Amino acid sequence: MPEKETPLTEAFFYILLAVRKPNHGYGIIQEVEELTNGRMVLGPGTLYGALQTMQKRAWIQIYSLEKESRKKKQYIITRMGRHVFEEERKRLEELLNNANLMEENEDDQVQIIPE
Amino acid sequence: MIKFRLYLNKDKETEWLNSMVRKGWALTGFKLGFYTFSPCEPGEYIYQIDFGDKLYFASEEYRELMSDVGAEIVVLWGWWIILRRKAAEGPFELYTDRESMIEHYTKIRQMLIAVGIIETVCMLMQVMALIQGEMIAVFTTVLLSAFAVGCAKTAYEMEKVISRLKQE
Repeated sequence: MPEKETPLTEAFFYILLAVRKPNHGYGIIQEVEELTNGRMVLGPGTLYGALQTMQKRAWIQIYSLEKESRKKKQYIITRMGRHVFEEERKRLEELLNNANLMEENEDDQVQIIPE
Repeated sequence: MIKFRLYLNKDKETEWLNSMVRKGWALTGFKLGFYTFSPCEPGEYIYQIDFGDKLYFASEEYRELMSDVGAEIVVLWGWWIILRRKAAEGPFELYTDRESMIEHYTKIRQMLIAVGIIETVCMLMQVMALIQGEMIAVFTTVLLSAFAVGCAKTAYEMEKVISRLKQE
């Protein structure tokens, strides 16, 4: 469990994204793998811990239409989860926008003259 | 085949279980230090050890997730959950990021410290009995001391793993 709630860890970020619609545990692993082109394959321990933490924080909840115990457990993001995600998105946007500043002064780079 | 081992460090235990698989022996059961093995194809499985939130318990959500990824719960013992997956399905890791690894090892360290303290208290009670002339307490004193030292040593090993992860 990350000690601070934001910035989100990459795992938390992608898990929240994967439960924007009802999704079950294995579905989350598969979707995150697809979204990151195979870069991120969530281990089941990491995913389970994150799902427990996020349920405690009320960022996600169990999604069930009926009390069908035979069906796999699905998770869905809550309003609070969406709010947390939105805050993280604003933070990331700020980072990316500021990163563009790097290109502005590309021509007058300091030349390092070797001794 | 049954083997007797006492492990407190789960990383060393995992390593040993996987080395048994390479020799063609797959763990099928565990009780109080007695590991039961059945023959398997050499290298057929990958074992991993998890640390649960409750004693002798794995939630429905946990079981579902593990079976979906092709993993099988072999043993539930105390807080420990021993899992295995067919090696043919690829590498099998439970924890895949630094944050969750730190959380995992921190939980184990805290349990070891708590158990170590309880054992030390029990050991001191045995020492009191010993002073009062109950010679049988020699045996339990030695045993409890050994376990308490083992817990402290392993808690220190976990601490080293955690600080290494934090530096990465």
